[in-house]
This record gives sequence, C-alpha cells and structure tokens, in this order.
Amino acid sequence: MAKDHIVRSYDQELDLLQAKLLEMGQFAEEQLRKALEALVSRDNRLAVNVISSDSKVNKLQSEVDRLTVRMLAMRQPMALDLRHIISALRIGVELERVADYAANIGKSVIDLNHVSLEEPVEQIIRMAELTQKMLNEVMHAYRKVNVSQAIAVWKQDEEVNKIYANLLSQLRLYMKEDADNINSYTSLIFVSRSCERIGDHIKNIAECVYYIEKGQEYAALVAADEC
Amino acid sequence: METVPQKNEFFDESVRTVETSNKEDKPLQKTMEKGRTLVPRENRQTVGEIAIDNPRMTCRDVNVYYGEKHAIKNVSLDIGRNEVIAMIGPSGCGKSTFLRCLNRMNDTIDSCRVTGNIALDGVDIYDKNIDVVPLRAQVGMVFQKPNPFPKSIYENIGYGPRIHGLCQNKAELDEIVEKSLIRAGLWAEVKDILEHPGTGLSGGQQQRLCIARTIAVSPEVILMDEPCSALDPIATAVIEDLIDELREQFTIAIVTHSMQQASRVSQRTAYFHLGDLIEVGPTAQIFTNPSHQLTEDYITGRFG
Repeated sequence: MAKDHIVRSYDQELDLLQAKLLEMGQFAEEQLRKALEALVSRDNRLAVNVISSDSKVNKLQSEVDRLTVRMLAMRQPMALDLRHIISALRIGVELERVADYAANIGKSVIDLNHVSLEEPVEQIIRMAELTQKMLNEVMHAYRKVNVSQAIAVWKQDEEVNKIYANLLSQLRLYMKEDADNINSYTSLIFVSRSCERIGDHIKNIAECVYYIEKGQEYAALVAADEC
Repeated sequence: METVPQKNEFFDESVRTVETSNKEDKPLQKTMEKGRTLVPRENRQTVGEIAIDNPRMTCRDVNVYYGEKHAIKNVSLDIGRNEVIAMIGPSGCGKSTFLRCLNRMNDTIDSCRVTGNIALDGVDIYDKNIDVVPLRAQVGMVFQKPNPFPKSIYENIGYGPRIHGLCQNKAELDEIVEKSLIRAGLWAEVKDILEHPGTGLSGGQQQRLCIARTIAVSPEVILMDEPCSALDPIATAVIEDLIDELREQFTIAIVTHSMQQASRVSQRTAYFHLGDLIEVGPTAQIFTNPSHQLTEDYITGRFG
C-alpha cells in the first residue's frame, strides 16, 4: 500500500494494517477450504480442527481493531487514508464473520458425518467452492484496490443466492419425503445457509474496496440506478 | 412430566436473584470492575509511570518559582534514551518552563528559582560545579522560531564544534558539517550553497539547519520547544519524519501546542495542568484511553 507519506512510519503502519487483513483473509479462506474438505471427505478430525482454529481469526481481528483505533487517534488520517483505515476496521469484522461461518460448517459436518447423504451435497460443494473463490478474489481486489474486480465479486453473490434458493426448496422436499433423516437435512440447511451468509459478507468487503477508491457506497449507487 | 415448583420457591424473587448472581453475575461483575475509571479532576497526583528503566535524565520533586508564582509543582519524571517524550497542556501549564529546566535555560531569568533534583546520566545538572556551556551542548535546544546565526550555512553548523573543541582541523570540521546536515535531512538541498547565509533558507529549511546545528555538537538530549509552530504542514511533516529518525541516536523532549503532533511523533506523553504533571504514559494509551479526567478533558477538547 505504498503511499509515499513524508512521515515514513505512517506508511509502515498502513502496510502493517493491510498485511494483517490479508493474513486474516488467507486464514479465513483456509478455514473455508478445510470445512469444505471435511464435508466432502467426511473427516471429523478436520472439522474439529476448523472449529478450534477459529480463535486465531478472532485474535487477528482484535489486532486489526487495536491498530485502527491507534491510527485514527495518532495519525489523524484524511481522505484516502481515512477511507483505508475505516474500511480496514469493517473488513476485519466481515472476515471474522466469514471465519465464524466456516467454523459453523465444521460443526454441522460433525452432525452429518454419521449418516449417508448423496443428493444435494453436490450443490453445497458448488456453493462453498464459489464463496471460497469469491473470498480469494475479493482479497486480491482489496490488496490492489482493484474496483472492477471488486464489482465482479459483488455480482457473483447473485449466483450464490440462486444456488441457495434452489437448495432450500430441494431440501424441503427431501424433508417431506424422508422424514427419518430430518436432522441431517436440517444440518445441510445450516451448511448452505452459512455459505449464503459468507457470500453476503464477501459482498460487503467488495463494497469496502469500492469505497476506498471512489469514496462512495456502491450498493447505494446500484440501488439508485435501479430506481 | 416436569415437577411444578413449590409455590413459594417459584415466586420468591430473592432466592432466585441470589442464585443467579452467584452463578453468573459475579464473574461478570468482576470483569466489569477491571474496566477503567477516570481519576477525578480534584486529584493532582501524577498518574502513570514517571520512572522508567535506564533513564537518560531523571527529575525528582522539581519546583519552579517565578518570584511568588509557583510555576512547577513537585514534578517527578524520567526521560528515557532513544525515545521522544512529548509535553502537552494548555497555555501556562508549565510545560515550556519544565523543558527549560532540563538544560538550565531558566538560569537566565533573574526571578526564577528551581528546587529539586534534575540529573543527566546520574549527574546533578544544578550542581555548583556544573558549567552550563558544555551542559547546553549535551542538552541542546531547538526553538519555536528558527534562529540561524546571521552567517553562512557552513558557519551555522561549524561554530559550535569549533568552540567546544570537537575538531582538530578543517577536514574534520567539514566532515562534522556534512554529517550533521545529512542527519538533519538538509544536505541534498544545501550542499552546493554552503557559503550562502543561513537566513536565506526557507522556514522549514532554517529549522532543519537549527536541528543540524544542535546535532553538530554531539548532544545526548535535544529539547524542542514548539519546533513546527512557525512552519507549514509540509515542512512540519518533514521535521516530524526527521524527529522519528533522530530518536535512534538521541533522546528528544518536545513541547507542543498541537496534541496531534504529540500523538504523531512521541512514544511517551506527559500532560501538564496549572504546574502539575497530571499524567504520563505511553502516547498511544494517553490518546486512546487516558487515566485522568483532566487529560481526557484536554485531548477531547472539553477543557475549561
């Protein structure tokens, strides 16, 4: 995030802040990947690992919190710097939520692993893979402050929502026909719901990237266009 | 089927309150108590760590009087090596007076009386045997308005080392002049005009020239009294970056009216109020979560 401030230590702090968030993003993505793998390979140990690793993301988030509070108080950031620092605070919150949902998926995986389920898992995997890809891309967009890439990620959330809606109606059908396995279907709803929420948080991160560069709220602009 | 609780048990609020408070509220209460409470305004004892490990300067029970006026009241404070300590507070709080005690600049004021102990590397600087001329080289000072000598840029830097006997010949002096200007971040701008008068430079350059002049006599401590108040934001940022770099080699104490500047350049901050040292602590803590109500009043602009 080379900004070429006259006071060089300010640049170092901004770089540190960005590095912390990128580390958080990478870790959240890894959590999501592991949760998905635990689901596919029915690996309880991996699921437990995802759940117990969640505290690391929380720790990173509180570091981001402290750093942003410190920078707001001590650097009096303006304009682009102000938007960067405020967005860092928000992205930190969003990533923490993403990681929470990954841990939730881990919990559901443990519930699911003692039954056999074939049908809708395919779609859940698609959804989880898509959110994982979106997370990777949105963090790349953040690193480069690449607005067009951020918007592309923002639009992909639509696809996540579509899969979710499909899954939901499909799962409802299964629940009616196969009442014996209703607990497992409920767990699958939790998993798909987690993926859907992850998509929303990634969308918020994309909006932050837009805000950093443009100083305006992307969602509000889209809403105004649609009117 | 669940047993219906006895009527008296079910409705007896006191029993239930006691139970819940034992099980859940107490630990919560404990956690809440750990949160801060501000020291009230009436309390004028210094809050925070006045002492630090391996200090460069130690000040104990310092009192300063201007005639009848008690300007500094029982202030004790350590000044660390390789750190920037900022002194902030409203006008007349004593921060500049205190700074001037550190190299005996107050000696020049007849009505001024200083009591207590101020030591540099363990040596009492108010001892009768101390010569203030070398003391003021060891503890240099940069003032509010840049005040270069009405001489060449070269002479502005060279004068001090020559009278303090820091060089044997012209070559050594040349080296000191160049090194000092490089450290002050001014060399690139003046290396071809060393014979030009120092007063011909811009305000920001003049202030860096004064910093170079201070550095030239190899001080241990640099005192800065509002060094940027006559400068524009760009020149201020250049000086602030310079302060950040000089910290590696020198101890710096800075008095500033701009608490934003204090927050940007210092590692420790001391807040003065009507001659009392109210609070001292790590700068990040002072500006995000101070311990004294008066400090909070001042930094949030709720003063008076």
